[in-house]
This record gives sequence, structure tokens and C-alpha cells, in this order.
Amino acid sequence: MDFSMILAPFSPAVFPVIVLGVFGGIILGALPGLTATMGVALLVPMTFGMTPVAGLSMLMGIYVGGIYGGSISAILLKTPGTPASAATCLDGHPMAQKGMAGKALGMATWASCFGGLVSAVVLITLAPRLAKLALLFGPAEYFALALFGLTIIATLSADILKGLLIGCVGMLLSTVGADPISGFNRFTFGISNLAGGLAFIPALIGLFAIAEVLTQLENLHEEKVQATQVTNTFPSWAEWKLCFRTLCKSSIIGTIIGIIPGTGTNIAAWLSYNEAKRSSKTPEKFGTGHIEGVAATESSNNAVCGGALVPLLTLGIPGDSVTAVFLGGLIIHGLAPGPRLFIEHPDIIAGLFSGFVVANFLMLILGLIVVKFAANILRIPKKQLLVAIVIFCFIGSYSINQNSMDIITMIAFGLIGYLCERNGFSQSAMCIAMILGPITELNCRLALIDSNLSPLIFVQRPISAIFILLAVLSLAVPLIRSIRNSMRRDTPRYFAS
Amino acid sequence: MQRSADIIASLLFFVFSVCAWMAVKALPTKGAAAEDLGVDFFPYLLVIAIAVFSVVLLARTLLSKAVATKSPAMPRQAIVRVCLCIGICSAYAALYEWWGFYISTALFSLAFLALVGERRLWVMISFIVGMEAFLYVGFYKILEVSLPEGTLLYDLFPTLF
Repeated sequence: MDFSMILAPFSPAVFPVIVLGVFGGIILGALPGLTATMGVALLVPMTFGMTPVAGLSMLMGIYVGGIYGGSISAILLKTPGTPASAATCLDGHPMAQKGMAGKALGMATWASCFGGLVSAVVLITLAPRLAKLALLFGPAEYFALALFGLTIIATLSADILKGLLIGCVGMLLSTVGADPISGFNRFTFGISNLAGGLAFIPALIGLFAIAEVLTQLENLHEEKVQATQVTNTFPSWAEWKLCFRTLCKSSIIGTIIGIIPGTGTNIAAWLSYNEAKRSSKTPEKFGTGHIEGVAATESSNNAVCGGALVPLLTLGIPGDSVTAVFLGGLIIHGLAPGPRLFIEHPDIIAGLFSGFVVANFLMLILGLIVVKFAANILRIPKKQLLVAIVIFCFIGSYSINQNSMDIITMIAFGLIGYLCERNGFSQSAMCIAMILGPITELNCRLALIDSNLSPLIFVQRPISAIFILLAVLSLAVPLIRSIRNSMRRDTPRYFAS
Repeated sequence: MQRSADIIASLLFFVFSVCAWMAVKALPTKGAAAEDLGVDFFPYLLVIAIAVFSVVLLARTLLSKAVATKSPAMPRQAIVRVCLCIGICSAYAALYEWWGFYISTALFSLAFLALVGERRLWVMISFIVGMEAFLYVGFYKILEVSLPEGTLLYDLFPTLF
């Protein structure tokens, strides 16, 4: 690893863009409905002219800032800015009602930084080792891993059946374009622009940004924000002592959840909250404005960030929807995520790791400043913001290839994403399936060519067999549980999770 | 509401799978090597899966007892707003390269602000001027993002060029 690149984020070309990314992320995250995924999707094309370290560090800044920013509206408005902060409402808002908004926001900021740094340590120590191990992976292992990722996404959807259905649609869409082995064009219908496949970045911008704008248009009601005095954002020594165990435990839970492909920040936050409550000496205080609750959720959801980067950078498998979009950023800079990235571009990897740590510290500094003006941020007019977002979407989609076909792709996927969101089909499942689809197909076919069409190759190789087993279990366990539950309730909703 | 939406969704997915099946049939069955599964293997697998899952979703929805609506019906005004937004975005996409970024963005902003209920002319004009100045400096000059200049002026006054 090139250690001189560790200082890269402090260079005049990189540092300002990380500050901009973290600040923009906090603002986007704080505004209900605008997520970190959307922020990263919008800004991926803008990084085109930057160096890989600058562009990708900015995206990481938006990621960590966005996840943290969600806590501001969760605490002040009881409306989570991002799904990751939904659990923060439980204790954060009651604290604000008791006049302790500063304490809640302060703990959220410190906990987010703590969680982010714990996950950074895991990322820096685990990722190079995992990448070394991943060098041993052949097509069978990659196929099994991608399959595991796909089953996780499907089962984590609110409805397993809908998750599987939309996942298959996403995978089918990913087959558009030249066949990865023979080069034969599939589903291009004579349109030359489709030969390279559906434009991935415009599709992501459509799925996450345009769809969100359409959802926001349904209800243009502006939230009335009370003038809240935010003071005393530094937790006391007693509060640190009370929360330290929870912070450590939740950060580890968040990191582990982040590493599992297809999971996300909201799952980590709820799991950590439940664990903190279960192991607390005063579980009855949770939900009434207990600072430990805020510490648990905020440290774990930010810990997911570093964890989710582990499978993305080492295996090319996104850990959550933001890293799925982040993958687009890597592609734009001509970087193929996977173990070879660590061998071919160790300088960029060192810069990214360092950028991630810097982004977390900047989140702490900027966060503590921003929370003082939190009420003002929440007053940003939604109407003008929506127009600006659509304009950014157009610039982002067009600027990659200077092709209006990409804009059409973006609008089409925006509509698809909106309809998915309205009807309980997960856009994240579709997006991740679009990424994992080509990996699954290519490696399955290569493995079968290697084994003379013997499917036993997938169970004869130990790593592959483990992932296949995990994939089967991840589908079977929730299915059996839901069948058992529905039999108990005597309703035929067998496939509802 | 959720029940009927699920029925419609499952039917749409089934129709999609039938259409996709017909498109897959046009693909060659042979792959790059004798041991290759072929160009059409995965698409066939996925089309079958989509058809099966959509039938199961339909059956599940029809067999389930009426449950409390999960998502309330959308007000008519919201539906109109969403449809108009798609229309405005499509028009913006059509004009983007032809009229150029700045003219098409100004018109789009006006239309979109009107759609979201902004009626104050000074707000609209200051938003457009501020936004375009920001995009010109931030994106065109600093980030060097290429923005379409358009051919409108050339089309109208070819002798000037």
C-alpha cells in the first residue's frame, strides 16, 4: 500500500471537495425525503473531471454526512431525514421535547463519528486481507457470493415475494446489451446505444432521485419548524460513561451489518437499538428520551458506511444501496472494484481509506457547527429544492456520454422507481440486482465451462458451497418463519415477510 | 387500494414476462463454447422466474382476506402533479440538446415552479437567474461539466454562423 497517498485528502485539490461533500450530505440528509443514496447518485457524474481520490472521497463525504444528517430532522421534527434515522426518532425527539435537543444532536454527532471511525478501522484492517483471500476466488465462488447477495436483498425487502420479483426484473434488465461471453447483442432492438447495456448511472439517478422527486410531489406540504434553541452539544462525562458500552457494541453491529451484502443502515439501527435496550440496566427508559438510545442508533447507522465499503472494494459486491451507487463512481473513474483494485491501484485505495477517516472527522466538526443552525436548514423551501434536484439529475445523466438517450433512460427509470416505491417493490433490490446480475451470469457460465457443464462445481469448492448454503438459508428461514406465522394467524399470506 | 395495486402489478409483470419470452426466443441458443449455457439461458431463467413470481403474487393477493389498506389512495391533485411532472421532464429532455441548456433550463424551471405552486414572479426569476449563474460558474467553469449549447440559434439564423 502506498502510504504517501494517506496525506492525499489534505491536498488543496481534495480537501475542499470532501468538506463540500460532507456539508452537502448533512444538508441533504437533514431534509426529509432526500437520502444519501440520492445525493451520491446526483453527484457521481460530477466527479468525472476530478482525480479518483478527490471524486470518490467527495462521494464518501456525502455518504457519511447524509447518514448522519438524517438524525437532525429525526430529533427536531420526529421525521427521519433518511430511513437510517427512523430509530433515532424514538429517543431523540422526546429528548428535544424535554428541551434537550442540543444534547440529543450532540450525542448523535459524536456517536456517528465514533461509529464511522470504528468501521474505518475495520475497513482498513479487514479489506486488504479479504482482498488477498478474494484473489483465490474463481468463477464458482463469485457466482455463489453474488447469489448470496441476491437472496439477501430479496429477503430484506418488506415483502419477500415482491423482492424476488423486482430482483429478477432488475437482473433481466442487466442482460440488455452485448453478451459478456459471446458478444452477441441481446434485447437491443437495433438501438446501437443499447449495445453497451442500459446506461447504469442515469438508471440509478432515475431510480433514486427522480423517483424521490415524484414521491415528494404527492405531498408538497412544508413541515412547520419551531425555532429550537440548540445549545450544549457536548455530552457530559457521565453521559459518555453511560453510553460507551452501547457505542462500542452498536458500532460493531453496524459494521458487521454493513459487511453483509444487501443489508443497510436502517436494519443496523433497529438491531442496535433493540440490543442496547435488551442489555440496558434501565430498559424502561428507552423510548422516553434516553440518550443511550440515540447513541445506539446513530453509531450503528454510520458504522454501516465503512462496513459496506468492505465487500464493495474487495469483492465488487455492494453492501447497501449507497455503495451500489458508489460503484458507479468507481466505474466512471475506470476502476473495477474487486481484489485486483488493491494490486493495481494501491495508491487510490490508500487515498480512499484516508479520505473516509477524514470525512468522519469533518462530519464531527461540521456537524457540531451545523446543528446550531439546524432549524434554519429544515426551513429550506422544498419547492425550489425539487426543481434544483431535477436540473442536477439532467446535468448528471447527460454529462457522462453527452447523449440524450441517457436522459430518456433516467426518466424511464424514475417512473419505474416511483411506481416501485408506491407499490412496495424495493428500488434498492432492483438496483443491486442490476449490479449483481451480470456478475452472477458471467461467473455461472464460466464456472460451468470450466467444469464441463457439471453443476457440482458449486458445491465441491468449499467457499462456494458455504455461500450457496447461506443463500439457501437466507431464503428458507424467512419463508419458513412467515409460513409458520401465517398458519398461526390462519391467513394464506405465506410469502409475506 | 393495496390489494388492487398488487393485482395490477402482478398482471403487468406477467405480461412483461410474456413479452420478454418472445424477445428471448429470438436469441441464439448457442454460446461461445460447446459447454457454454448459451446467450439465452439466463434470460429464459429470469423470464420464467418473473412469470412464476407474478402468478404467485396474483394468487396470494386473490386468496388473501381483505386487509387494511397499507397505502392510502392518492388524491387526484397529486396524480395530476406527478403526470405533469413526467410531461415537463419529457419536454425538457426533448429541448435539452436542441435549445441548449440555459434556455431549456429557464423554461423548465418556470414550468416546474408553477407546477409546485410557486406564483411569485420575482421568486421564479431570481431562482432561474441564481441557479443558472451557479451552474455556469460551478459546473461549466469549475467542474468543467459539458452542458449542451443547443442549435436553436443556428437553426433560426443560419446566416449568422
